[in-house]
Amino acid sequence: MHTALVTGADRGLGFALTARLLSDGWRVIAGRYLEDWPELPALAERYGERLVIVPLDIGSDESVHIAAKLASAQTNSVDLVIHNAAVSTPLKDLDLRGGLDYGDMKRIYNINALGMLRVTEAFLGLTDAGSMKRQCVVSSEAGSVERCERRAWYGYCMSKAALNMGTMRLYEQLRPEGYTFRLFHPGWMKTYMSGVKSEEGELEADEVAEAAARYFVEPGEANGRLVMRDWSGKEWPW
Amino acid sequence: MAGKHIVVIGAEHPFADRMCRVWRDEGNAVLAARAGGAGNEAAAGTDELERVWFNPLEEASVRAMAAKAGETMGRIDLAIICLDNRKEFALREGFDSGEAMELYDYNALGPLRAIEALLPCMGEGSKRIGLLSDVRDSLTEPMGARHLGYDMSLAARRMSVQIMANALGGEGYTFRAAVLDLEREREEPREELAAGACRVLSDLADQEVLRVFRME
Ligand SMILES: NC(=O)c1ccc[n+]([C@@H]2O[C@H](COP(=O)([O-])OP(=O)(O)OC[C@H]3O[C@@H](n4cnc5c(N)ncnc54)[C@H](OP(=O)(O)O)[C@@H]3O)[C@@H](O)[C@H]2O)c1
Repeated sequence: MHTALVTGADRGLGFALTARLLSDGWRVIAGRYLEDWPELPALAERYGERLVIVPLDIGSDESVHIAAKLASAQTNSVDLVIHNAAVSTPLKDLDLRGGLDYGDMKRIYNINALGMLRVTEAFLGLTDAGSMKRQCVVSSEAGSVERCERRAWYGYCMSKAALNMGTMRLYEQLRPEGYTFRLFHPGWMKTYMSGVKSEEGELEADEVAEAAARYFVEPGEANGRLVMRDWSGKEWPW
Repeated sequence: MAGKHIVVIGAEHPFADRMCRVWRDEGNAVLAARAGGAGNEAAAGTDELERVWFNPLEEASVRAMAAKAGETMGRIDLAIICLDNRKEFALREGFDSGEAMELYDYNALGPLRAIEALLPCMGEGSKRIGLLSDVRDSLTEPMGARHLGYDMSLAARRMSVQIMANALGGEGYTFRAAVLDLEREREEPREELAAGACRVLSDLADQEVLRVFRME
């Protein structure tokens, strides 16, 4: 049985991916961030020991290391990691004229860009021992400099551009060791990035999770180079 | 180009210092805004460049630098960002999230703080914002993972320049990036390259909103 780690698994895409992998027969280590959100515990009742829930704040070195220890107590290896957790901000319209909130921009970067590195490093012992050595990074079109037409939302877009760069550099480092990568833009989803469930998105998390799971588990490297693909399979420019 | 008012931010770097001198020798007024702290003054030498010290991580210090620029120059024509803090660290070799955050704060947020503070003095000038960058900001060129945090901070900064161009282009602001090929990792900057960077960053005849030049 394959084992996956999913960050930000409480709700939204992370939860949908967790549910999808479980129904496909995987064991999932689900990073729980929200203390009292009911969806993961409900899944645990259904899947028993195949779902391992660990507290995980990817913005904290300590939390990530504890989560890796807890995971190590349950498994000797992780085959696939889905770096999904991220935050947005209610301050997305701030611009240079109105004054940017640099503290908020650092908060976002710490989670969206550095979180992926923390998790990758802390779980290397487990992923090195895995059979797939697959790192899947949920990024966003908001990280594409070439396509960027926004006039604000600095913190989020900068964090995703940096995430793409971090993924590229890890690809360079870890690929010779047998790792493969997936970089993914999920599209505009009806999820909880604004704190409440969005009714405006174009896609349900479940349908995106289905496409994402297929892309994440399929063997090999896409064209021998790292690309960012969206839920429909379309490639996005950097 | 002559007679322009130029603020060079991050002018403590040898390459940026060369650029200050090129522009000054052409007949421009140049303010060398040097990142650092008390005690670093000696390192600046005893030349006649007008200079100010500031800390790119502190909004108050950046605002004080901008106030000094406003006092000494009145209008600002060109704001040239040369801030650069580079450290090596990679995964498996002691990746430090605190250091990675510092690099973001300095290389990506420092320029935004500076431009935000200088904007009020730029409306009457030539409205040119220039950036000295590095080829490590490229996602298409393999660079290895030794500068993981640094490279990520440059990617974030590249995105911020694009958003600024989108936001301010309509008001007549133009943006230029001169991308150096690891030049600032050399001991001695090359004079002709500094002159070339000055040329592309200050070519005001070209009013395209954003251009990126690779400096060879
Ligand atoms: N929604 C979209 O349209 C869209 C578009 C492009 C890309 N994406 C990307 O898709 C991914 C999934 O987003 P989503 O839309 O499913 O968002 P979501 O519904 O907000 O789910 C993300 C989950 O991660 C959690 N989280 C927040 N901070 C965390 C931390 N420090 N450590 C661990 N978990 C944390 C969130 O908790 P809280 O709810 O408490 O924050 C939430 O449970 C993200 O990477 C996002 O950037 C989303």
